[in-house]
Amino acid sequence: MKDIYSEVILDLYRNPVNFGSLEKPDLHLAGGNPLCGDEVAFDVRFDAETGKVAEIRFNGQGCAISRAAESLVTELVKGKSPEEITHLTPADLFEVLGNIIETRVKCALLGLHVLKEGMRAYRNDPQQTHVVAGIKI
Amino acid sequence: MSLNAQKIREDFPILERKVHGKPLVYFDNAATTQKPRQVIEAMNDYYRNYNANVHRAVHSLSAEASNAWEQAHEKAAKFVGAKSWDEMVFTKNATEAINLVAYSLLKKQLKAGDEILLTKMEHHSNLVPWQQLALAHGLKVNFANVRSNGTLDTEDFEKKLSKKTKLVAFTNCSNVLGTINPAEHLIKVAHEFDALVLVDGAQSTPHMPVDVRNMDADFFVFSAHKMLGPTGIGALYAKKDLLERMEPFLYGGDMIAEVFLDHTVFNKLPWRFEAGTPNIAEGIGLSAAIDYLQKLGMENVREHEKKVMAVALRALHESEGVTVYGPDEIEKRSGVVSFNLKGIHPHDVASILDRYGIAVRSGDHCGQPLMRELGIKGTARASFYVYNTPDEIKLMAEVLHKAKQFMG
Repeated sequence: MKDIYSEVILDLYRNPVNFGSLEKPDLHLAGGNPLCGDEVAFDVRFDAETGKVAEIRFNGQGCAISRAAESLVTELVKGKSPEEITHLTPADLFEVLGNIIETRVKCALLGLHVLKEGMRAYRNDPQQTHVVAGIKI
Repeated sequence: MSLNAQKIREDFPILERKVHGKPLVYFDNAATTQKPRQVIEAMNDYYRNYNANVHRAVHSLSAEASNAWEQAHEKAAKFVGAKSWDEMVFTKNATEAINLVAYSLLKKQLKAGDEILLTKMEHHSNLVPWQQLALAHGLKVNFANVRSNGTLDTEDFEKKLSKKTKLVAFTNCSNVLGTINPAEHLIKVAHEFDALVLVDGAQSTPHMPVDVRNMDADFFVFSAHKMLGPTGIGALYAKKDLLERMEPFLYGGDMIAEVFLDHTVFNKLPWRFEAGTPNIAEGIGLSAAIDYLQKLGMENVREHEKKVMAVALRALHESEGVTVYGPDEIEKRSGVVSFNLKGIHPHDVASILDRYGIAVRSGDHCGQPLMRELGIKGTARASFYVYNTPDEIKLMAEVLHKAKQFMG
């Protein structure tokens, strides 16, 4: 089982970093994978001066791989601007998460996808909406 | 007579292979079953020795292929208890058979304001066609409730029938819960309102004796690949007088008798509903699969699955933190069991089992509305067939125990 669930994944699954929510976040992003029913939501607070991610929390329902990956993604985007986040690639994630078996790659990419799509929508919206929901992978 | 699963296994080349270094334990039979060499060889034999188009030419090969194609219809008709083979239409799968009925009825029999009654335990294939038809043409779809024990709420079903109900469609056996629905009773009450009834037999036909005339179904659909046959071939049984009144669904070659520039005279049954060159090798494969199952005897197949299911239910119930969905009574359940491990996502359960060579399905099993009804996102699902053994169940139970320790 260790070949599917590395120590990194198991640790983050049992004790996820940045799990929870923020009070009055600057931005709330939510989405999921309708095929398996997994859901994830991110609360983001931007640094008032730099506009970069200062604080981020995630929560939702998912498997061990999606939860661990979501937790890692929150660390990955800290200190990055919305634009920088839209340029993140799966390779950036797998570099820290380790390789994922082929049948479960989508589980690992859910969080990154929701963050990227959410940040893209946020940047493109002149109203700078505070909520982007219903993002599907 | 009880089945000798060990002997049966010798007919299935794929069961010799290993997955992650472990012998394959195939528990995803509700999705598709494995194929015995008798089926694979019958299809090869067609391609090697008498490959030709059917109903087209006067040469010998075409005659041989046509005979085999017609014989496949005859066998399929007998297998489900139809009166004659012209009541048996081949399609590419059960889904297409349902769409055929839906679109064909729409041309003459159904109109805006009519109601369709389904159940909340339908596979997407017996829900989406009716729902889309209703949305586009002003029909109304009602859904009979499912009780918390996974059985159909028959009182609710009866309450939702009315004079407006023109069509009722329900699954003979749930692909998620394993629930066997009381088809005869449901059809009888639906007929009291003069509604036509379609039974989705995709999960029943492979696993138990089926008799469409006994249950008095107007339409009955099933799929070859879930009963040891190949993909690409499904079947629709329909009462002859209904088929005769129905408008074809697809138009083209083979479904015609005479074609003029301004009109066409359609072919006789069942060809009228089989436009274009069909999946000939696959029909021949289905024929071989039926031969194989009939040799085993469908009563024996059912008994074998009941035995395996009893072992599975006991093992799952004894295991701590396991929730089992669907009815507990073996008589009301086919060889399908959905379950969840407390605190572990179904995909994780399936990935861990896969590491030990055990193939189960995880997710919503093409039944998202039912999952919502049960208040869950998904389940792991093990589904059994003639080649599965109690020892394989024991192995699954052991791995589930390991999974709990590992992920806990």
